[in-house]
Formats: sequence, C-alpha cells, structure tokens
Amino acid sequence: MSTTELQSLLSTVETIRQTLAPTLSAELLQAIVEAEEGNPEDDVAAMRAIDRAVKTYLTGGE
Amino acid sequence: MLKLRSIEVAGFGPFAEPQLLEFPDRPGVTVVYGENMRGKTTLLNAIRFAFFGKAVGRGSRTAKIHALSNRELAAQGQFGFSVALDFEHDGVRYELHRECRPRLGVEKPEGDADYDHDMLLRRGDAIVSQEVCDKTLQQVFPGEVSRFFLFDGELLQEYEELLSNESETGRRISAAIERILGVPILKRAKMHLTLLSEDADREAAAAASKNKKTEMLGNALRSAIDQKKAHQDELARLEAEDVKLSGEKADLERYLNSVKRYAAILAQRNEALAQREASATLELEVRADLQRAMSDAWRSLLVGRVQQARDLAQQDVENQVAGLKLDLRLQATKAGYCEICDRALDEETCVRLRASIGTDPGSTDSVTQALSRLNDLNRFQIRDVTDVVKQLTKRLQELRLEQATLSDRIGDWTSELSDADPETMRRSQASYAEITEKLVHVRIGIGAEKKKIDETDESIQRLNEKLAAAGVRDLAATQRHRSVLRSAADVFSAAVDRYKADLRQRVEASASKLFLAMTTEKKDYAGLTISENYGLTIRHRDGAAEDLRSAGAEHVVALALMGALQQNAPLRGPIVMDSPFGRLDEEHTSNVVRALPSMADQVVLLVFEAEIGRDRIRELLGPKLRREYVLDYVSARRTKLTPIR
Repeated sequence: MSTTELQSLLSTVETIRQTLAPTLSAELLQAIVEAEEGNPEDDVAAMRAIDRAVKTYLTGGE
Repeated sequence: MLKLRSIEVAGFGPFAEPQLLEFPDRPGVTVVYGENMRGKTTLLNAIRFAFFGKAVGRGSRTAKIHALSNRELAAQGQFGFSVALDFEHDGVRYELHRECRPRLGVEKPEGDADYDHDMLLRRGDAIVSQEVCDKTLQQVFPGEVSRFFLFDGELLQEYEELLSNESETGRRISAAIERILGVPILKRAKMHLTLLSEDADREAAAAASKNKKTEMLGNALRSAIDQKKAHQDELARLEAEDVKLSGEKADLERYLNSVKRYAAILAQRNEALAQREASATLELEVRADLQRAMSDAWRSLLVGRVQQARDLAQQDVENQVAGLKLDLRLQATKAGYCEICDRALDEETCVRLRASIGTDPGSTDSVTQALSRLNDLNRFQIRDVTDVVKQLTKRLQELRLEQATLSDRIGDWTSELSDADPETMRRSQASYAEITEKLVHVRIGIGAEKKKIDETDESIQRLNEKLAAAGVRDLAATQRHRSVLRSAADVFSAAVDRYKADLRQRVEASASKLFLAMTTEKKDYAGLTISENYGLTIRHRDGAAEDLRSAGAEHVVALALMGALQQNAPLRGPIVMDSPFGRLDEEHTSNVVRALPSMADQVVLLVFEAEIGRDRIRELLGPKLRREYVLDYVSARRTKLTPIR
C-alpha cells in the first residue's frame, strides 16, 4: 500500500478518534494501522506488534 | 503500483517455442490481436499462472496443469512448460519464473500429479527464499483481487450478482472489493484489538479476584468473560458453518446459472456440429478437386522435353515434304507428264526440273510418318495447374483449421453440458433449497449469538467500571491497559463503517464518470448509484433507477466498476482483458476502447479482430496505443507472437 493510500486510512481513523476518543494518542492508532499493514496475512504477528505498540504507549505515560 | 514489464512463455498452450511479450514503459494500452484458438486466453492464463501457480478454464474452474502443455510438443513426447514474468511493484523490480515438468521417472504424464512445479522469484538483485515466495507474491498481488485485474467477458458477467442481496457470488465479490479497497486493514485492526482487550479483561479479572476488596467483582467478571467466550465459540462454529454452506450455495448457484444457458449451449453445439459436418463434406470435395489437379500436374514436368521433340518433329515434317516434292518432280521428268498438273511436259521444262532435283528425294510414306509423329506430340496438352493446386491446398488448410476450431468449441460445450443432465439439475435445485433454508437458520443463530455477546460485553463493561470505581491502586495498570485497547477497538470499528461509506462514494463517482464516457445514451442517464454490496444501478436523469437493463448495459456497468476500483484502490496495477466486447455493439465498443487509458495506467487488450479492427483501435487510442502484437497461425497447435508496432 502506498503512502498516499495509508494516509487515507489514517485520516479516517484520525477523524473518528477526534470525536470518539480524543484522549487516545493518534500515534498509537497510526502504529496499529502500520502493524496491520505490515502483517496482512499473519494474525499472531499483527497482534504482537499491536501489543508492543500499546505497551510502549502506556509506559511512555501518554 | 504493480506494472508488468514482460512475459515469456514456452511450451504453454499453443506457444510451442519461447514467445516474448514486452510491455511498454509508458502508461497506455498494449493490444494483442488474435483469431479464435490462437492463444489470447492462454496469454491471460500465463500471467495468472505466473502469479498464482494456476490457470482458469471455462466457468471459472481451475484448469488442469497437464492440459496446459503444448499439444504438438506433447505428441512428440515433450511435456511441461515455463512462464517467466518480469514486473515492478512500488519501484522494485521482480523476476518470477515458474516451470512445470514431468516428475523424475514419469515418461508420459497423464495428470497433474505427474508434474513437478518449480518457482524462482528474484526481488531486485536478491533471490527470495522458497518459504516466503508465496507470501511475497500474495503481498504484491493478492489472489483474491485478481479478478479486478485479469478478466474476460465471462467474469464481467458475474458483477450482476452484486445487485442481489441473496447471491453468494455477489457476497464473495463484495468481500473481494473490500479487499482491494483496503478495508481489511481496518477490520483486522478492530478484530485484533478486540481479542487483545479480551485478554486484558481476563488479566483484570484475575488481578481483581486476588484482592479481597474486589474479589466478588473479579469473580463476576471472570464468569461474564467465560460466558462471552462460550458465545464466541458458538458464534465461530456458526460462522464456519456459514462459510461452508455459503461456499456450497455459491457452487450450486454457479452450476444452476450455467445450466440456465443449457438450451443456448446445446443450440450452439448443434450448430457447430452441423458446420463441422458441412466443412468435412466440403473438405472431401476440395480433396477430390486437388487430386484431379494433381493428376495433371506431372505434365508440367515434361514441358521442355515435349517442346523440344515437337520442334524436331516439325523440322522432320518440313524436310519430308521437301523430299516428296523432289520425288514428284523426278517422276514427272521420267514420264514427261505431270500427274499433279495433269499435262505433258516439254523438253525445256524437263531439263529445268532435272537440274533442281537433288540426290535424296523423299517418299509419301516418310511424310505420313513425320506428320503422324507431329500430331502425336501436338495431342500432348500442357496445362499449368500450379495456381489451382495452391488455392486448393490453402482452402484445405482453412477447412482443417475451421474444423479444429469447431471441434474445440464442441468439446468445451460438451464438457459444459456433461454435468447438466436433468437428474443432476433436479438434485441441485433440491440441494440449493435445502442449503438456503439451513443458511437462514445459521444466520439467525449468528445474529442471536452476536446479541448475546453484546449483552455479556455490556456486563463486562459495567463490572470493569465498578472495578475502576473501587480505586484499588494495584488494578490501575490493568484497567488502563484494557481501557486503551477497548477505546482503540471502538475507534477502528467506527472507522470501518466510515471508510467504507467514503469509498462507496468515491467508487460511485468514478464509476459514474466512466459509465457516462462509455454509454451511448449520455443524454438519458445521470450516472450510477452504488449499493451497500457495491452493486451499481443505472440512474436516469429523472432520478429513477433503471431496473431492467440489457446485457450490453450490464457489461458497460461492470467495466465502469473495474475502472473505478482501479482508480480508488490502494493496490493499483495492470488491467488485462480478454475479448471483453462480446455483448457490446460497435458504438459501445468504440466508447470502451476510448476509455481504456483512463481505467488504468497499464491496459492490455487481447482482442479478436472481428470485435474491433486494427485501424479503428489506432484511430480511437491515438498516441495512447503503445504497442501492438499479433498472434500468428503456424499450425492448429502452434502460434507465434509477432510485434507489429
């Protein structure tokens, strides 16, 4: 997926975040999209990457 | 962006020797012209085979590997084939080589199991390891979306199914459309976040159970989570059942749709049988004509010799006549009387005649013999039959090709008809009704389980809120963990709906534009309207939907959808279309050709010239026509791919 198309997905996610969960970090959601984009056929790897991103986010104190 | 650079096939279908098709670098259209049976569909299948390791036959069935080998080479004992595809993806160059050859020890393969299949993929300068070849190719070009890039008229027909809420084929196409449009990324994120938040719920429940202050809440939470898990397991079972039944229903739908065409196919087959018989009869007649022509052909070999003999005989006749004249003069001088003039000769005349007589006078017999020989030689008729033989031989070849083409079509139709017997149809209809009923129950069950899961989920939420309100410091971290996951899952859930709605709008706008460019009734129509399933309806200028539309209109709508998906999908690539104009009239065909460059950067059109001729294509595409090839007939089992521009 090219950068432009990824931006289109992220833009939708960001719009929803602002209304539904404004306290949630936009960077975390971007990391989740990237985790999925990088592991399109591998559930375990995608979940592991998401888990890592969430833990980083939580330990970062955001 | 996926871009094809070249493809080389060898021993594949009618391509016995290696044939190379190079695609132009610049955006535009490549056209490959070919008569029936020359290998247009085989070229499309070669691209499919390179990417996915399989080819598709009629009725979207997977073609047998064994049947892909070149028949002429196979008749000589050479089985197997290779396809080498050179392409670019997001600026990185790939070289993909696939080869099928008989397994060691198999001299004459009889089925797919008798072949070894090798694959080599090079990415840039590095060879991709065998373990990740398939995964790499799946990322570059997912098989599920190939229908939007590589298609023929038959696949285009399936898009009508998107308008039906009940059709399994439609459901599958909808899923493929969402796949190409990138929706699965959001869907999978939602699913994975939900699973992780459930794990976090379990951790929160376990932690709460260990604390006396929150023990009861923790136990209640654990019980709710177990209940939810039980419902999820049941839901998974029902969904698996749904997938299985849906697959069976889709197969039956495809079969029943195909037998709807039973009568038409039967008529076509009967007509082809009659044509083949007429062609065979004509072949016999032409063969007899050729035999007759050939029976005289040996004479042309003797032309020189006979002419020489005739010249000699002519000369002999002239000599013998001259001799006879002298003989008559001699007799007249001896008798003093000329029998020819019937009068007496005077002495002076006799002296003059004697002086003119030589030593070797002729005779009547020798003149007769010389004349007879000349007559014999003149009776020898020389007729040049070379042109006639050439014409008859050409006609014979044409008739043989015609019969081979007809036999092939008859074979296809016969195999299509083979599973369309009345008993199978009756059983299939009964199975279809039974499966449809089962599916209704399964889907009611799915709805009920989802509702129960939602209810249990609400309980879990309430219990978690109570736990948070309890203010136990040890639980704060797990509570925050699950809260973040939950919020993120909610965001992605809403994002899926929002993204799909946005995409539908974009696809509708692009498809409408393309449709209006391709339809011949621009004054009447305002565009297309997209449904939840991505089905497209034609919208009249008065706002009403055109419920009944012709086969040609369906075709144009399907092509508009293909172009719109290309324009809006994260994955963009070449469109390779095989004989896509079957149901279109001349004006629609022209409009579609004109619109091709706007459908994708790289378009490859495999076309039968009766659909649209070279001059017309050149005129319509102008500079956007980048390259042209023709599939040249060598024999019924051998085709040559020749660049013509």
